[in-house]
Amino acid sequence: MSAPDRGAASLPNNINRSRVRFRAGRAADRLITYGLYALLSLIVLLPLAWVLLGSFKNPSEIFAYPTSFWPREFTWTNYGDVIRRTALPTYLFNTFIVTGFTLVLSLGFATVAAYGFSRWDFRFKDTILVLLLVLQLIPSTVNIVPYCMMMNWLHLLNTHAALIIIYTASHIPFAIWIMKGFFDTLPRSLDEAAVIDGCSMFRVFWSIILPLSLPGLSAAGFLIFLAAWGEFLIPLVLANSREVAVMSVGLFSFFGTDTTQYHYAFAASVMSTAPVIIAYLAQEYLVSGLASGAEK
Amino acid sequence: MARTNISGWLTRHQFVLFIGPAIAVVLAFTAYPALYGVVISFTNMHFAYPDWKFVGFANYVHFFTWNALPQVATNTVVFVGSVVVLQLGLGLLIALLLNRAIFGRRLMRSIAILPWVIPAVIIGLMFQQLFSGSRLGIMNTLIGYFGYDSRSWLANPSEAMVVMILSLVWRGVPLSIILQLGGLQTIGKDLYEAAAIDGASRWQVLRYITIPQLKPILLINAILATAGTLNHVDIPIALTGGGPGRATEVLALSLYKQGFQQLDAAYASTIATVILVINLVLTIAYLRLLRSRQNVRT
Repeated sequence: MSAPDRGAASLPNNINRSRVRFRAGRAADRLITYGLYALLSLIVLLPLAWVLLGSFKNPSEIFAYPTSFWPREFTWTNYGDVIRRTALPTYLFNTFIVTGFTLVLSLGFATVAAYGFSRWDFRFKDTILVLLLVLQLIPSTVNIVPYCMMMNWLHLLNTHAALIIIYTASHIPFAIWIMKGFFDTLPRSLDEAAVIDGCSMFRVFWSIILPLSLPGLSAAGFLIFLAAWGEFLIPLVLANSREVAVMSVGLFSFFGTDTTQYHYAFAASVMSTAPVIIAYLAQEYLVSGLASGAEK
Repeated sequence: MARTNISGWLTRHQFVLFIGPAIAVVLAFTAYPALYGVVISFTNMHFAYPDWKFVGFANYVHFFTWNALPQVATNTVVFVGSVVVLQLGLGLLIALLLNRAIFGRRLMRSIAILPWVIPAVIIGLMFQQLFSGSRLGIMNTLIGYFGYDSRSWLANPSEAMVVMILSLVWRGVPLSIILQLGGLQTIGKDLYEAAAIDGASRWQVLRYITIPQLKPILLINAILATAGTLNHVDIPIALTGGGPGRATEVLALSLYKQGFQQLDAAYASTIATVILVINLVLTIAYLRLLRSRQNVRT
């Protein structure tokens, strides 16, 4: 018998054996995977469930010992109290205003610029794009002292405008990158055809390109929404008076320090987090998954 | 005349109208403050006094001889190091788990990424509750089931650091999952098939195929996690405020405390400049990696 023959004969055999082993291993494999899935879910969801369930407990139950995980009776009183007796509605309204303006302005500036980067070739284009990426990586922690002085010169301390301006500037770069990536997938011939038909470039951008880019806009918009809604250091320093405080500052300054108001803090945390969780679920299951692009 | 020149130039360079406004806003409110912060670090500016003058390197001398620096630097290294290692390791493990063709992984991915959307300040306050020193805290309740006595967690220097690290990891692992899951999907199936035919063990596949193929993404992840943790100040402010004593005071938190509790703008800017320099080094490394990845791809 020649060596190649032996190889050919043993190959199927080998594969069969490994398949059998594969199948036997597979059931145990799945069991382990699901076990780890369960553990992971527990680690992620348990702290959140603690806050969520806590928000439905009677205040007397929150402070009772031994601690109960599941409320003995569900009650909405904490929510009613937080809405009527604390400034949380104001904080949420302020957060909503700041986030909304930031979204519109940063997407506005960024999509127009991204279109410029996508449709024209000019000198230093790549350099400018990389520079934008570098500027994006400057953290707000580093800029916080100068921000404070600049907003003082502009007489914008303790205003929403200060927050909106800074958030907008710091979100434009990555929104440009996302939107440019999106515009690049739309052929330039589309624009050229419209220009031949007499459209201005602005008109092309507004009526043709933008409507085709809604998925890109929603992805960039979601990331900006997340960041702006939760931003903490900048508003803590620049807009910390009660009337203009956003949710994060309100929660920290007026709930975090007073530990006797756990029942308020739980309900307030749930109300402050609900918008981002709803946006996240909508983005994951209605629009398109964040990581699902990579999945295909 | 001049007017027609300008409009003529703009017609020929129409892109300027598109990119100009965005670039102006970004330069004015990210590049300018960063540079201005460096200038402030060479002055004696203080939020409480209007007068100031240039003082040369005095703030830097003060910083590098600062008696709290050894502790703050140690805290920062321990904090950033542990968070980055745990984020990368757990991120890889979970990305591998989520990369299997198995029922329920989409739901699992949504759950695994969930902490990433929760505002940092709420995570800080939440961990404060979980690790509350009273017997009402959930951690004390949990360890109570196993017969252990209640601990005071955040009042204990090393335990406070552990809790702070855990909260950052809880929040940061999703970013690693997103990045590494994306990386795993780009690894060619043929490599795994070849390994299966050769009878490679699962460990060998991980060691000799997955990790080497994932290396660029792991490095990018390491750099982003390092920068993200170094610059992060929300959770330290909300969770411990640097305490007990200076046990959990990291560099970014020193910046905040010096600037907005001591009101020493110049000293805070000095710390900011040090952080900025570390960030620049990380950014350069990041850009190099991105570029080399693109070269490999094309």
